[in-house]
Amino acid sequence: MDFLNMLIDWLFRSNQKESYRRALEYEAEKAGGTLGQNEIFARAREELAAGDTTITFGHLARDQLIAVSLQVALMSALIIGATGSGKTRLLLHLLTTLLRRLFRVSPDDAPFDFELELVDPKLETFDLLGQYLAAMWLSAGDEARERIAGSVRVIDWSPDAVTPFAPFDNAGGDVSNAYLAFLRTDVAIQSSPQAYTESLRQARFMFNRLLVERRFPPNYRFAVRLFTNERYRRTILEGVPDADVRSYFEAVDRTLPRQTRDALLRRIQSDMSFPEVRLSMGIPPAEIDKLVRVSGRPIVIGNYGCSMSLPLSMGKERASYRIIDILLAAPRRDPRRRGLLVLEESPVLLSGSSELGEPLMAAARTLRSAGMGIWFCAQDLANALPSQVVRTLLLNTRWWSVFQSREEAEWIYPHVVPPDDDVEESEADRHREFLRAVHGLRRQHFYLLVKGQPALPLRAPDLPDPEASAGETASKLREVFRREIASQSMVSAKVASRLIEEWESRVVDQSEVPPPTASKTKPTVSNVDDLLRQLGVKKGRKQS
Amino acid sequence: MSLERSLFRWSFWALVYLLAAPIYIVKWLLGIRKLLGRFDVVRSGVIPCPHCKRKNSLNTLASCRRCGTTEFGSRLFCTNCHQVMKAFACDFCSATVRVL
Repeated sequence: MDFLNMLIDWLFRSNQKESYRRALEYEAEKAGGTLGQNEIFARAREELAAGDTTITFGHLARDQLIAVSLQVALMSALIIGATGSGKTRLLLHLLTTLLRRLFRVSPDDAPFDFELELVDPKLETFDLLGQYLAAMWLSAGDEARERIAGSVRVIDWSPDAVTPFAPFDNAGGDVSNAYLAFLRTDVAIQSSPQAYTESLRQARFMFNRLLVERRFPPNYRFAVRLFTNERYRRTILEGVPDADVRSYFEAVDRTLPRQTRDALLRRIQSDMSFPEVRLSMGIPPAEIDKLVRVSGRPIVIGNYGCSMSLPLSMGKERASYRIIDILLAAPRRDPRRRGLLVLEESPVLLSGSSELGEPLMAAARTLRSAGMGIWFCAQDLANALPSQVVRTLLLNTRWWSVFQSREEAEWIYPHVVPPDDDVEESEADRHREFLRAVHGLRRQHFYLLVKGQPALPLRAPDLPDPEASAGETASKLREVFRREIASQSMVSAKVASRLIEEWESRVVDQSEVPPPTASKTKPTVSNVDDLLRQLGVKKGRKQS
Repeated sequence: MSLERSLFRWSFWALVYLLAAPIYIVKWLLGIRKLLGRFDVVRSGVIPCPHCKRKNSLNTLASCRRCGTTEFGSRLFCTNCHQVMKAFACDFCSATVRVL
């Protein structure tokens, strides 16, 4: 052993006691043993609030407010819990806080720009948010009132007024006409309680393709005349650029069995027989552009609840159409402006719909890069959806708020910090006790888990009822919401009915077929006729 | 071998050692200086990783690579076999962190 090694040996030996003490401290700290629950919560509180702007989620037992940076809060998330446990109230608290900042209702609100899309298949959240918006409108100054009315687009349907909706309008050109028709067909079939055979499915797909090509609204009378009158069909097909669609409908009398055709017509009749559906989807897309301003409204709140007045499948179908449109447009949005898609009762939308489930699962994984997050609100998420969907949601969401629930309590147990006086209790006892506590959590109480942090037992902030904050009754607030905000994006049933009748009399009765609007998608060329048509050379066609 | 020749050989080696002594002394002094400088890091108990810049504790529950003894203490020194480790793998990025 040389001299230097002896010296090293001596130095380490002289430092041995100190090293031992420090090693013990380090290992204890690594195991979290030396930090008490309060210290861990204090550290989490500090780390969660790191950022320029924050939003309050609730407070800990000792009235310590927990605020989360908006960067994190607007990422994909799960809000889960039993009915009446307070998840809707938390959601409304978060949304109203963000909306107050967007509209700058009072000078104290820190401005924050974002886009929101609320999809509510149960009406309650839509109704309450509408009342809060009305309360905001009433308490705001003239400028803020204009901002509110000009920023909110309401999607709703009732026998008196409807939001016009053109499911077969591909003016945006985000996807090809065929793909849009495919998506619409699949959603309609999966939402429908009626069965579809393979040929019926194909007939519906081709009919939808024709609607997209011609920018026509879905209309039963049009469908009947199209399938029963060959001459009319030829007139409609004039100028349709897609050769596949033309050749299918030119030979439809030979290729489509009469029973299948009748079944398709029955289904279209069934879909369009409900006045709310007929009035909202039946307005020609060209008229919608003149009636309401759709673009430039960052806040879209949609009621897809049928509230006993319509079959549930109608609401589900329309919600699915809307979500698909958002997801298709999402990759082209400006990622600097934060976007948020809120899916209330998401299992209602996700269960049994692969055409919606798959894009949503993909979106949960990828939309972060487009500056967009999805908040999935649900009760009994663990059992309501297939396990692989649940797993994808768990892996791809940034934070979870778990209200009173059963199986979902297991997900947060590994992240729960036991109280300081709980060290003597066995792991099994602690686990059992925790599950019992989550089963019986009081209203408004929940566990917030932001990944990378411990689960925090919080109480959601008190959200005063809209009536109390505005000093008006709920019915008065609903009236203000309809009159001042919803009316900007809805049309009365009378107007909608008149427009549909005019279109029917022009296009269906008199065969005045408007020229097809230029699509942004590239027209297909599959034969010489197509090429000549695109070059503007008219080819003589014998009318039968 | 004659006595003269043996004496000459020993004298030669003594002279070589005598001439080399200052060089060794300088080398030892430089070595001690360097070692004491590095040992300040050992005394501080923490060293940042040159790659990921995160702080690694030098005092942990560590096992000796040679004799397998596991003990609370410096991860660079085994009190059982006196093995000295001059470097270790960063806890966070596993890059080699050279200490001594």
